[in-house]
Amino acid sequence: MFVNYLSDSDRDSPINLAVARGVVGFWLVWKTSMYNWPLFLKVPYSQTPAYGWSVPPVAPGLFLTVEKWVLIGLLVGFVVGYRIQFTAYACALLVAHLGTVRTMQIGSGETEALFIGVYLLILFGLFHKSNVLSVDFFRRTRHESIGALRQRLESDTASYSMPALKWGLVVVALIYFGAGFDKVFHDGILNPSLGFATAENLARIVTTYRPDGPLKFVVEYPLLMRIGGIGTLVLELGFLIVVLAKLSITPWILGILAFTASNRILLGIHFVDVYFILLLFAAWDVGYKRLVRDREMAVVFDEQCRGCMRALIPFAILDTSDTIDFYPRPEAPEQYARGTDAGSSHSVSVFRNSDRYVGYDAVCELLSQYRYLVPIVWLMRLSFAEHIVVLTHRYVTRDHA
Amino acid sequence: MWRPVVISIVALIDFFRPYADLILPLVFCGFFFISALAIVFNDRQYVTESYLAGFLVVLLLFQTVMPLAISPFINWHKFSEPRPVESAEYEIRVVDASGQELKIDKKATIAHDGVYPLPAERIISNDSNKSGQEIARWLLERTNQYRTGVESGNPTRGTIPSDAWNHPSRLYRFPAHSSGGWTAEELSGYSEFVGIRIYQIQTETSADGTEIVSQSEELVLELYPERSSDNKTKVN
Repeated sequence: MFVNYLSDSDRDSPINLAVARGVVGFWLVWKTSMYNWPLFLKVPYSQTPAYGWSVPPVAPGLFLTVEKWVLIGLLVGFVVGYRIQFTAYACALLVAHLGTVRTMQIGSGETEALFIGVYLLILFGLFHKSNVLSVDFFRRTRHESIGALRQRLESDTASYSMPALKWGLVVVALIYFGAGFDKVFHDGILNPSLGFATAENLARIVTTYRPDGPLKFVVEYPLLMRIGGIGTLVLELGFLIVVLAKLSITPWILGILAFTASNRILLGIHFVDVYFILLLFAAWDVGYKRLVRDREMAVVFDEQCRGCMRALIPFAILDTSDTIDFYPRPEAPEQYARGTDAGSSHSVSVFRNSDRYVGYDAVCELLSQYRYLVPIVWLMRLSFAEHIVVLTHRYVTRDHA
Repeated sequence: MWRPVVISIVALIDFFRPYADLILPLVFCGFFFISALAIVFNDRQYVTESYLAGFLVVLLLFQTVMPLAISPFINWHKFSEPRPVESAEYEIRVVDASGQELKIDKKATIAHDGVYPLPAERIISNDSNKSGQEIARWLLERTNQYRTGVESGNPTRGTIPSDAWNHPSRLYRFPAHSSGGWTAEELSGYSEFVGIRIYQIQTETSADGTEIVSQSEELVLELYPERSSDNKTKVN
């Protein structure tokens, strides 16, 4: 369910990395767009005045609001994978700056979580080249030779490394390790103590935080409290160890998710960010395979047409179960040779159940292989849409006709 | 073996403390300067490796031996100190025109929804550059505004209140760090809030932690910013 990228650094599709960009972007846009800076800045006291330097000296409310929307724009760029090297770094800088202003006001877990986003963004910037499902990659294919493009379409056995997720996992596990470490060594490294994990301490935390909570009765069971205390230490300290030992992280992530939910129910404190941070390491590519139909399909393309091959590459990448066979025209098997000879005006033909689709129909057929793209096919099947596309296509290509 | 390390870290932090105004921005800018270099030159040999090694080591130090965090470095040190049997905490209540009081909703204070006693500490210690009167005036303005929001079913803060499922239109908001809060029904018995009271709540829990055996409250301070004369009543 969850991937330990230290033992499993290569995946057979780039889906996980792309989904991770989406999760980070969605989380940070949702979270930071809710910040009302002019209202925050009216607060006449602060928790850590030492961060006062982070507040812009002129028009701070306007400045931070503009910064917030610039950040949101950049995050959208990051999610689609546009110039990741720049957008990831710029997003990290802006999240960290807004987070520092927020730290000045309040340094609770809600604020601290923003900085985990900063580290993840920096890692994405550092390893920007590994983002294959991205605008950047599509732009890079412009400079690739015809042979390399053809190779990308024909090869079935690509593997994709995800160093940003690998090191991101280490960073997240390290922060959890710190949480456990401080519970044991809060009196200094010379005086370790298990005071946190005693039944009475756990019971007291619940009793004082949420005396009327719905599950308050659990404090009556010392064994349960004791297991909860030890379990917390095992989860927090053990996460880094299982990551580095290249063991399965699934039990640990499920445990931390349950722990986060129990904090909400027992203490009334909700670390919402944890769900997003841990979801980054889910095996999205396994579930994704169900989103692609398993019907067999063949695509015959013109091996001299760069544009056609570049347009087909995203389809080849998204076809993670290899349900589609891509053939350059001269090498197409006998049954797909019909109408695809060199003289044909169609540079891409799609074959399914011995039917041949070209042009607009080929695009629809190709899109409908991916269940999540079917809505686009519905739109394309509306008669006026087809009319507009055909007219536009004619307009764009009239010089070449 | 560890003692000299711990002592020297504490000594170092004490030594640098007077220069915090310089060091904090320097750490922040330094981190982003070095990260920018690493990201720009990431295809050169050893750049990525050495940057990562340095970053992870510094992050590890902030997780373990460093007793504080400097932005952009953080730690998630939570609940490390075992809870004492007896504890004292400040509680702020707002007072309406007829003298009825109500515990403040954490979410009304916007910036501090997780660190609830902070405004009370700031007012009492008087070490913020704003006076207690100003803080009280702001708290009243905020709570009255927030209250209007709660009553109209649309509180200002981007948070989901506990009854969110009855108001699906609020689900687009990022969930709150804290739970609970005022409800419109609860507020209907109160007129406009005109003052704040700060109480110190002494709580004693049983030895096994399962129940509160005694709780006493003591009024520390009362503030009515809009009353012109003698508006600061210090009790005790």
